[in-house]
Amino acid sequence: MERGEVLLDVRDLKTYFFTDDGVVKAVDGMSFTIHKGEVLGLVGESGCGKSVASMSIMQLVDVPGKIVGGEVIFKGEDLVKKTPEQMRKIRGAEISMIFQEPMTSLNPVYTVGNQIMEAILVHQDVSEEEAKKRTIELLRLVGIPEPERRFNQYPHELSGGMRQRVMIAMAMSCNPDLLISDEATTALDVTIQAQILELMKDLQKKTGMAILFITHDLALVAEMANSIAVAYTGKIVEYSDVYSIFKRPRHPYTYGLLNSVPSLKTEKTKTPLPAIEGMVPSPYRMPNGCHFNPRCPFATERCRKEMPELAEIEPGHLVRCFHPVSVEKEAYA
Amino acid sequence: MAVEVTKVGEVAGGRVETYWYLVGKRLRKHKLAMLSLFVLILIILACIVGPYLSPYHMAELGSTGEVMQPPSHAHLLGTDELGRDVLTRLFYGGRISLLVGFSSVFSALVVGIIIGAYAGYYGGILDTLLMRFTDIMFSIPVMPLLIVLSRVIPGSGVWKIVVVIAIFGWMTDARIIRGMFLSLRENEYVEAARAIGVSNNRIIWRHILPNSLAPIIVSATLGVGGNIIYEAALSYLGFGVMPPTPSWGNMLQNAEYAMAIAPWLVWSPGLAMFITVLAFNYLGDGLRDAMDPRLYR
Repeated sequence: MERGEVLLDVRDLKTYFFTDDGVVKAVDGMSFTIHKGEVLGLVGESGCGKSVASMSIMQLVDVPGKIVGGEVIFKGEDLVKKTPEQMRKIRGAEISMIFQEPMTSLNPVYTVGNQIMEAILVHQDVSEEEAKKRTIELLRLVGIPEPERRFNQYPHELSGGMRQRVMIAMAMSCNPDLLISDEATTALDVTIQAQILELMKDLQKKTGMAILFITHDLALVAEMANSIAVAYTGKIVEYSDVYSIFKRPRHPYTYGLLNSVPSLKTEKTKTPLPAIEGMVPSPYRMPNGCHFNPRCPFATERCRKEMPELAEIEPGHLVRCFHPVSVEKEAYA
Repeated sequence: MAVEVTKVGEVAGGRVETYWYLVGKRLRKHKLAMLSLFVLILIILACIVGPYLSPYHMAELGSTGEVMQPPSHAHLLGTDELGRDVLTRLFYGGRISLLVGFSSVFSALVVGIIIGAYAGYYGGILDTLLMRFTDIMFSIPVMPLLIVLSRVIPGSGVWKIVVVIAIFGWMTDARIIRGMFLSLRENEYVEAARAIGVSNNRIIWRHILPNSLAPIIVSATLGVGGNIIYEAALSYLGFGVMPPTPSWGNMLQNAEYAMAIAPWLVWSPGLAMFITVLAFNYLGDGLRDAMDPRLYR
């Protein structure tokens, strides 16, 4: 696959939370890259550090959290080393973000038009009328009917899907190079979810921006992403293009995740849906060696002692495992 | 005081209702609060217009025969020990008392909002420092210090009182605002604002503050009444507004020794203050009910 130049390069990122009960290594040595115009899906279950990773990219980690190591190279510059003021100019202008809860992501005391205008006025030196004109264009761009009327409406007058469109309009207001979508469709109905996905894909094609698509929903990444990074306990365990991941998952965790998705076959054979044994380990007491070893059917003595490195086992396919699965899964969809 | 529960955003008569519209609507149903509002407007108007309508000047001395006259046609509320018209002085005194009440609440609010907002928004060490400072201010016995301060701060008159009251009046506001900021800063719209590059100051003043207005308004309304009493207490002790400028407080103090022979000198400022403070308290109560967030979920 032909790829553009590297836009974002996260290298060995470590974000720890220093709580009263101990140190939580929410992101513990994550690395991934996003090329220009690429959609990278970051997948994992709750608590695997996906959201913390996105907040770390934005440099919005709050106390007691702290980025303790690693680099976030965006357009050749390390964001970790930026001053708060420099970062503020990047946020919204070059990197934007949309959140999970469209119901609460808009300020209830301002009209939606007002809030999109703010996003424009914070970064661009334009007049109020110009900003208003652009806001209405943006509302139209994200598929909101009657943008002139919607401009003067308050968030509570809009439905969840509409609000998420407004959030997208806000995120798009300065033509960012990278859009981080943190579970942006999770809180929506499936039908609305499909519309929002369609909109994001469409905008991505039109503008050529890159998207970091964070979700726990495997079906969604298959729909959206070019590449996938699977996260487990703050580390990337598998990284490849969508096709390889779904066709030949090599990490036992990825394999288990894909297996636990109901398919037409499980329906036919009436076999119980396979699940991954056990639970995500407590962040305060990570197991020695590979963090997945207590739940892994293939774990050996070595897995209980050593943490495997993320290694390229095939061109473009990186896996953090001593015993990568070599069974081919029948293709999805 | 039965209040109808209406959801924000509910459409009534084809009109989408905003929060403040609903608050107004509910306040109008609160009879005591509306009566208080009416009385307050009346009192404020009287204090503004009254002195122009009165044939007397507040410091105008009467002849010997006019000293301590009971209420009559010429002097509706009688005269004081210097033969001055009590009604005229009551209007002037009201101006001063209300001015002190409003401006001290306003100044205290400005200080309280600034301290509370920064403490609540930034948290951490700044929060600890500011809130411990607030605790210290809280534990100072106010009255003796007020008396000392009003002696130490040079100058006399109204503004000194305002400053003195504000210095000791901001702590409750600061705590309320800090609490509001602590909870509101966790809102996703704050995170979203940060994610589009809005500066911290702008988030504090433009995004969080407007959302914490309700308790501020209630506390301010109740505060005006409280501070009128404060001023009266200071004036009564002789440390407040200095004669000949009248305030309800120093009129009361003046009248103290004459209580037996000229009770109208006590009743007039006393009742004026009583009614005003009561009205502020009822209005504050009404506002609190009307803005109760539990009714807007």
